[in-house]
Amino acid sequence: MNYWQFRLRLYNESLKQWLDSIKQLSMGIVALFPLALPALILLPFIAWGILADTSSENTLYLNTLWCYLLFIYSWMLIQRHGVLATQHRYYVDSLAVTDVKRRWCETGLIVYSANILLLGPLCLMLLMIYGAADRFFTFPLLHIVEQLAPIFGLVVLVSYYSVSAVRVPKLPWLSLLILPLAAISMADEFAKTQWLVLWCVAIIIERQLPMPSFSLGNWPKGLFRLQLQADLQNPRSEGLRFVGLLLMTIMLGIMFNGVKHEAQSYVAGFLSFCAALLMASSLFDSQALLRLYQPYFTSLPISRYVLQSYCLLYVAVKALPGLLLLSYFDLFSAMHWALWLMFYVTSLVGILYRPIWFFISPIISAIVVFLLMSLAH
Amino acid sequence: MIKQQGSLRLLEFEKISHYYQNRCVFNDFCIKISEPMVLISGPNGSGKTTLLMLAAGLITPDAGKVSFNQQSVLTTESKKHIGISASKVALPGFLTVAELLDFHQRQFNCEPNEHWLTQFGLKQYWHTQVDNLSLGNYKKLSLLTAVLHQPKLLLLDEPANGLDDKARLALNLLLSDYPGQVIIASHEAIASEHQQVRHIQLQRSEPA
Repeated sequence: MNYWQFRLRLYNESLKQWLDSIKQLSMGIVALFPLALPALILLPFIAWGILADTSSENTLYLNTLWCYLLFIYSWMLIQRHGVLATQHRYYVDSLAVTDVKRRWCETGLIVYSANILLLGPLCLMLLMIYGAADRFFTFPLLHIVEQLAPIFGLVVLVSYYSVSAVRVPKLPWLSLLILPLAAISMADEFAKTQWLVLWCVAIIIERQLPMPSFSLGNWPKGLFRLQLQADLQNPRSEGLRFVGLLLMTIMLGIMFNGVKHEAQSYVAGFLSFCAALLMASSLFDSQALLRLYQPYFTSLPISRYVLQSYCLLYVAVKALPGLLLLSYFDLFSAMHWALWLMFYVTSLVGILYRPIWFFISPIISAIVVFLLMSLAH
Repeated sequence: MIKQQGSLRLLEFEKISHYYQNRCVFNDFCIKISEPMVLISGPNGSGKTTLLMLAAGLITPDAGKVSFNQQSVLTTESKKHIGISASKVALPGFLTVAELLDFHQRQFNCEPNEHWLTQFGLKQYWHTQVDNLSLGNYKKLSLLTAVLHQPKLLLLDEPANGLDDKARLALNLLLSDYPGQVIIASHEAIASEHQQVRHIQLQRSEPA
C-alpha cells in the first residue's frame, strides 16, 4: 500500500463512519421522499444548465449559484476530517513523506471527494471552449469573454470553496451568507460578470478580516450553558442544519416564484413541513448529549423530566435564527406559520417518544390537515 | 441503624441481582454498610465498579433495591447526598474546568471549594478544556466534583489511579477528615491506615 492508497483508505474509512452516523436520518429521507431521490440526482445537471447560460434571469442565476456553492462547501466540510486524516493526524505526520507529496495527495483527495460537483462544471467549461474555438478569431474578444464568464466563474468559485472548506479554518460568512442575502433584493442592478467579480472581492475581504467572534461571558448559566457549550464545541451539526434549511428555503423559494399563484400555497406548505422537521431534529443532538454523559447527568439532583424540559426549551430557542431566515424570505402566510408550529411540535413529540419513527407524527398531522382542507373546499 | 457524627449512615443492598448479557455479576446480593470507611477489593470483573454505580443510583439493578438512609438511591432527592468519582462517569469534555465546576456547583447548590482546588493543584488548569486534561488532572477533577457538595455518601472508584505523590497526599488528607461515609473500590490499600475500615472482598463470577 503506497502513501496515496493509505490516505485514500483513511478517507474511505472516515466517510464510512460518517455515513453510519447519518443512517437513521437517511432512512427517514428515503422513507419520506422516495420519488424525490432521482430528482435530487438530476439537480446538479439542472443547475449547470442555469449557471452556464448567459441568458438566464439574474435572480435565478444568483440563487442557483448560491445554492450550488453552499452545497459544495458543506459537502467538502463534512469530508474535511477524512481528507486531512485528522483522526490519525499524529501517525500521518510521523511518516517520512515530503510536504509536496502530502499536499498533492490531499489535492487529489479534494478532487476525488468533490467529484461530479467539481468535475462537472470543469468538463462543461472545456466543452464550451472547444465548441467556441472556431469563433475565437471571428468574434470580438469581449463577446467570447461574456459567453464563457459565467461557467468560468463557476469553475473558479467551486474550486475555491472545495479547497477552502478543507484547508481554510475560517468560515465564508461574507461570501456565502451576507453577500448572497443582500444580492437577492438587487439581483438586476449588476450584470452576471459583475456579480462574479463582487463575489471574488467578498472572498478576498473575508480572508483579510478576522472571523466575527463573541464571548459568552457569564450568561447563560446551568443546563443552558452546558448545552450551548456543547454546540459551540462541535458546531458542525447545527451549522449543517442551518445550511440545510438555507438550501431548502432557496430551492423552494425558486420553485415558489416559478409556479402559478394558486400552487404557491402548496410549495410554502411543503417548506413549512420540511423546515419544521429539520429544525426539530436539533432535539436529537440534545438527546445524544444526555445519552453520552448519562451516568454524570443521572448523578445530578435533577429529575429526568426537568432535564428534558430544559432540552426542549433550549431547542426552541435554537430555532429562532431559522425562523428569522424563513421570515426574511417572506414565503409564509399566517396559515403556513401555524402549520410550521404544528409540524414542529409533533416532530419534537415524535423524537421524544419514538425517535426512530419520529417523522410519523408530523406526517399524520399533515394528512389530517390535508383532509380537513379538502373537506373545507 | 448506626448514628455517627450527628448523621445517619446506612447503605443497604437488598437482594440485588444484576447481569451483563449472560454474565451474572450479583445474585441475591445482600449487605448493610454502616461503617464510615469501606474498602471494596476483588479481581478485575468482580463487580467493584458496578457496586459503586448501583450505590450511586446510576444503574438500576435487574432485581432488588439499593437504599441509603432508608431512601432509594434512584430518587433525585438522594442524589443530593451522594458523590461519585469513577472512570465510567465521564465528565463533559467540551467544558473548561471552570465551567464544569460552576455548572456542578449550581446543580448541587453548593459553594466553590478553594481549599481542595488548591490542594489538588487544579487552579492552574482553570481555563483548560476537560478533554485536554492529563489522566491525573482528570482524576483530580473527577474527585473534586464528587466531594464538592460534601455528600453523606462518597463513592470512589480507584481514586489514586494516575495521581502523583502530592495529589495522593491530598486525597489521604481528604479521606481522613471526611465527615460522611466513604466507599472505595481499589486494588491499593489507600484507606487501610484509617480507623474503622471495613474490607469487602468480591469474587468474580463465571459466565453462565
